[in-house]
Amino acid sequence: MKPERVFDRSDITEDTELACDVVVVGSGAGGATAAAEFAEAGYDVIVIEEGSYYGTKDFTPNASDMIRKMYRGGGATMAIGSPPVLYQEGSVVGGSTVLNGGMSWRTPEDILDRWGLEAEIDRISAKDMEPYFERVEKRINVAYQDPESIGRDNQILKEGADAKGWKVIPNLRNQVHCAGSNNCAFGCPTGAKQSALLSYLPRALHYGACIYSNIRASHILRDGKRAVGVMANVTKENGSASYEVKVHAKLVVAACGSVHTPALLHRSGLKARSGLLGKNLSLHPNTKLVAIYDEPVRGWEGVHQAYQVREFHDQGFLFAAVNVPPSVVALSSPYYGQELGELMDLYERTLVAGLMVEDTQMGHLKFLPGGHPQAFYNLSDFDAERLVRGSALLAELLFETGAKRIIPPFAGVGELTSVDELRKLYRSKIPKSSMEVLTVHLMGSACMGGDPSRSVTDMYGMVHDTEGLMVADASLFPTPVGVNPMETIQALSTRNVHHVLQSPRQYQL
Amino acid sequence: MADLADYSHPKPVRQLLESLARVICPSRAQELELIDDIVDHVELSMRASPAGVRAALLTGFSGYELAAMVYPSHFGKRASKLSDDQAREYFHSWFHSKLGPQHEFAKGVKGLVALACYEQPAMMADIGYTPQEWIDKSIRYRLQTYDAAIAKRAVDILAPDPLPGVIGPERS
Repeated sequence: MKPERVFDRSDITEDTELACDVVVVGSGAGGATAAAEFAEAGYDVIVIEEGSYYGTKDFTPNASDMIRKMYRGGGATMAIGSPPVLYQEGSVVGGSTVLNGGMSWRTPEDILDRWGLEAEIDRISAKDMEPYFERVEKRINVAYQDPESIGRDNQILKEGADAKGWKVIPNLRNQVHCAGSNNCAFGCPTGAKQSALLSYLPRALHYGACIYSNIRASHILRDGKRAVGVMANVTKENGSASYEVKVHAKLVVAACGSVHTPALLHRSGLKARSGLLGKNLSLHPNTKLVAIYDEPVRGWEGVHQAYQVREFHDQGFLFAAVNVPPSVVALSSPYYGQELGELMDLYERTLVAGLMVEDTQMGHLKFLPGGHPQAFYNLSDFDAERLVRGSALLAELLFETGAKRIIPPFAGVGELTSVDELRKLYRSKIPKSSMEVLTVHLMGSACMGGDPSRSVTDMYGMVHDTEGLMVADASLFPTPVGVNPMETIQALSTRNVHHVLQSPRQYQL
Repeated sequence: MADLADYSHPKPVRQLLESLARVICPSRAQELELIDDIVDHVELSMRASPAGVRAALLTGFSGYELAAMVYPSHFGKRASKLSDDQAREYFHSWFHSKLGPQHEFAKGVKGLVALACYEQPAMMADIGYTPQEWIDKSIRYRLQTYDAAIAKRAVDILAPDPLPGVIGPERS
């Protein structure tokens, strides 16, 4: 059942005009945070969200059903390039926070220092950001896992790292006594994960905000150089537009993620004088290895990503155990027919481990007719080498713990059955086109900075050369962060809203 | 909700997918009489996919169906009309093709059908995957063990905690 003041397509039966102080487009990490802070400060807030509203009881392990309902494009969204990179974004009230693994890490200090120095952003050091991180961590209840929630797959990963003498740390996650149901990617069915759905959005509603789901923003309304609202449409179940919804506001917050925020700005006729709108797209390329053991692993019994192996973090990559349901293993395995059946019969003894790279290459968005965004991204040679080396190191760890077979993420390489075979990875020239790369971390496509000739927004997320328009999502990042980005998005959103709230007249609020 | 187009498999696509499902899925799927359900599942996935992906798949299906007719060992026969052995051999030739588009199409379809196969409850049960049991157990354990902390959190999340130095709105 929807909470009070959450509306959906059934509540809007004609063209509608609404008015508020602040309209927030998107209800994920950045948008929900901004909505709650503005609402608590006493402003009238309307959140519009393209996706539907689902509550904890709606979340099931039926992966395909959840993906169709809550992932943009049914999860089939892809950055074109070599290799093509599958990416996933939430299209649901709560955004990607409903679907992520709940990793909650502060932005590394060296990254913040780079942003200060290279992007000329003031008051962004770790010390400056401390109160914002603390506030976010309190709001989303960042904590270590209860030990009993940690499953065998994560224990194996830790044992392997310990045996190798590699640095491994427990993950900080936004959860309240998570019992390890391992359904994070399809919505938390226990209510333990403190996604925006259970933290910032209830808070925003409590302080008077309204949420309109099934509403897709078409463009930002402008009066000269000033943003004055949002034009949107109710979406029917088949995705087509129905009634118009016009929201008048003093401040517009674009928080649609790194693909759709630039698209919204583009559709609204906004052009960054830096030429960087839709550029500077980074995405933390991810890949995964499937390892088969003699012992039962039952990776679905226990929390998703209890640990991260940080031994190689300074080289730009980290490892984690990332259980996925059998359908996803079957989808990405190199087998079909009886071979696929033989592999899947071993699912109970399967450990899926992931590798994430802090990328050095930037992609970009192109805006197709109608303003639909298409991402383009080519993995750099340097990052491709790191994916290969990282995969080899991760395989080394898995063999250390008794893995008997490992399926690497490189088509044509074949299975690995011993440490000695890792040389195959180092020796063979693995073409980028054969690499299986995916991501859930898109960043940087409307970057902030102190110099308008090198950024899209100012150092507080306000779009250059436009009044009353704020960006509040990962598209603000001047560079990739090298860790899971949710907490950075939320802390930046809090910081930037705080800046506006300290001098609201300057922003005509 | 993600875009859900008004898509249903055209009859030739359904026939082709039935043939592909018999090749791509392990024989257990046929023993459990799941081919129709798998093809239905692919339809739902295509309905949720971006229009461009759907169009690319439909184009690929046409190409795959018709190209079978010039394949020497079953000249003149469409892919959906091949015997199981012929269908397996034909799919193998695409899956291992050196031609990028052929290989990518076969890989994509394999992924889509394999996903649909192992989303069938009977297939999940067959490999011992029982997530709902575990989830139910997790919910019970959490509520029984941490009831007080959970209740406290529900109150805390709404407690006033304004940002410092904030100036509220001026209302006329």
